[in-house]
Amino acid sequence: MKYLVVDDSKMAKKMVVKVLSSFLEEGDEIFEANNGLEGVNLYKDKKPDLVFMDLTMPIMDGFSATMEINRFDENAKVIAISADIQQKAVDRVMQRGALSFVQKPINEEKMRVILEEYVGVGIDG
Amino acid sequence: MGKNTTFSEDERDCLQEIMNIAYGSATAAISEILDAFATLKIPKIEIINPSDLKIYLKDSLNRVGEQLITTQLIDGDIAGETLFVMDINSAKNLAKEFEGDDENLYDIVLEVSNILSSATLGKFSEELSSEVSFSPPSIQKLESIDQLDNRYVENYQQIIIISTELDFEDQKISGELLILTKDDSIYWIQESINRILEAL
Amino acid sequence: MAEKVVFNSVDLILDTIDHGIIILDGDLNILFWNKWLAFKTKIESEKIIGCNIFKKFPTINKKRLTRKIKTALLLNTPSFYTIDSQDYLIDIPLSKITDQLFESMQQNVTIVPYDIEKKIVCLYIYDTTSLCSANKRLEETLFELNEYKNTLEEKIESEVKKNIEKDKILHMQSKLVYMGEMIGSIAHQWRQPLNALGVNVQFLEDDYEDGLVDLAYLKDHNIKNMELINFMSNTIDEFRNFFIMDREKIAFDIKNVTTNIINIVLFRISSSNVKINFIGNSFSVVGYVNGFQQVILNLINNSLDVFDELSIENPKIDISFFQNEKEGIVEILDNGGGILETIMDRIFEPYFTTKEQGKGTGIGLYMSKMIIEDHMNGKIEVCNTEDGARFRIKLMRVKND
Repeated sequence: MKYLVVDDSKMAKKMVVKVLSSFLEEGDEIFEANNGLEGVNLYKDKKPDLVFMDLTMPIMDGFSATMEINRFDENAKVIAISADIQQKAVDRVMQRGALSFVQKPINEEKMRVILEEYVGVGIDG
Repeated sequence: MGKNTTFSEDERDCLQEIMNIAYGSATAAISEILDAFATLKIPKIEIINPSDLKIYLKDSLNRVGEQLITTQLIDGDIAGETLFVMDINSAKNLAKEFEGDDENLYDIVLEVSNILSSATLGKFSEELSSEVSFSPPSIQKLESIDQLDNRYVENYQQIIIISTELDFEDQKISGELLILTKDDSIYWIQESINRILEAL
Repeated sequence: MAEKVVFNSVDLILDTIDHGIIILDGDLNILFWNKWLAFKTKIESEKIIGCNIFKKFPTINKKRLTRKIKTALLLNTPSFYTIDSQDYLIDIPLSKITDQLFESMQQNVTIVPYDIEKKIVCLYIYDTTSLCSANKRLEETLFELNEYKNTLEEKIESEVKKNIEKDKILHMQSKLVYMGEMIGSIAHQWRQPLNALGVNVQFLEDDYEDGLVDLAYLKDHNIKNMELINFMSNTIDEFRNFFIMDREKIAFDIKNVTTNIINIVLFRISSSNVKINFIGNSFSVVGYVNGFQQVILNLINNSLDVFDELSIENPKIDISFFQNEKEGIVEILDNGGGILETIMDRIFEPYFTTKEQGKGTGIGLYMSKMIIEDHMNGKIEVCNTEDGARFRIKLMRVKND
């Protein structure tokens, strides 16, 4: 499995990676991007199976990045992770192709649910 | 441990991230309670000494003119006081949001700042595995930042300033949430953050 | 064996507690209404349980209360009703007492989440009437004090302005008086030369007819007349100095300056047979030359006036110069008999004069005091000796190294 984590905060990335790491299997890779633009470029390059996308970022925010990625690959799997959980924000990113929305901080339980649902990981775990 | 606590870069990043989370919660709470949509701006966090407070508010944050200050006492692992500073124009913009509600300007500011403080600090302390209790809020109007009480310099150790901007549809409302810490609360925060960092 | 005391219910506490407790369900119907409230509102618990709070108390701002309850439930933390515009939640009229500030009980309300899932909240109602009354009285007093302060400030401002105006006027008047004296002096100095010039011009024709006018005559005539003209011209130059308004303080020799001014009014002095004596060594001071001369002139004139009035025999004025480490002192002593003790402490007042109506303006000594004390940082005092009045002027002196 290839995972992409997009967030401008170093800590936030660390937190996601930490939770993700308990579900990692051999050969899995995690890529990190600092903003939406980097995220889009990295997606085109590495074609990850799952993207964790923060919403508020400089240069290009999560909404636009999600949209770009879905334009590039209509089967892209983007999970929005954000501190901002207002309904309008959720609607907005879902409209742009995100599959689900998780409120920060993501914990093991939420991660398990996401991985099971979208990449079939951990079903036998 | 000296009087001034300096946060390392990693500690600051972690503090910022936790604040983001806490603040996101707070903005969501505001939206739901006040039935309005607000865009969250990443809060800018600064840790300063009380003696620099007035200068920081005036110069770095450009707080000029009349200000409304809402205060609440907090107690728990994080003890001290929260101040919410909003200039009179932002307050009026805020009141416009609730036009026709027949509400007093002070009441609205009190409510919004109460929600923001409670939600932010509540979530913040939750993330640090703790709890915080609040006193009823009170509000006062200052002609300018210069009138800010000097007792803050004497009684508090360090101040965490969270600068925020709430964009309600078309109204821009900016304010600062100040957390004035006492009794080693700031060390406790630092230690808690380090615990989180170690676990990462 | 002591009996175990059992608290079988919390009812006792709820019944005796000193504030109101209401429990509301998710539809804002009243689930609990404590005794304090029953007593204050005269609504018994049984009558109100199950009723909607808004139906019972229509004055409550529905939107606001709903919002506050939502906050408490959502954040799982107490929310507060610090009531400002609407001063109470439940309207409880107060019995009429004179001088009471509020008609209804003032209240603070704390809303605490009781059961988040079922959306049940607990409302605590506190009577803050006395606190609010005290606050209001304090506010009113502060307001009055502020008003008073403002009025006071206005009054002070206008008085200060008036005084400044008065001083300006006095200043102008004294200048005019002084100028008048100077002009009188000039006139006096010119009288004789003008006369002489007039005579010389008039005789020229006659002398011509008598055949006396030749080149020698003309030369002599010119010299004599030019002398007179020059003398008059010099007078102008001399007096011009006295009209230059002092712009800056400069260092000057005290005896020199005093002598100069006295020379100007010498005609008045010699005509009245007054003797002026200079005693002591001179010193230098820094100050306004013109101003100082005005003062000396004023003091001399006062003495001369007294001499005239009382027809003093052998009138004299002693002008003495002393100095110590820091100061230079000028004393002016006359033998005019002195100043009445009863008016001694008033003579420096503006417009105070002992002269008849129209004779004295009374400005002189006031202006003198202002010039010496305010403008030149000195001191002017007066006392009586057995001969007459003695004026003493103290100034900071400049040391000549």
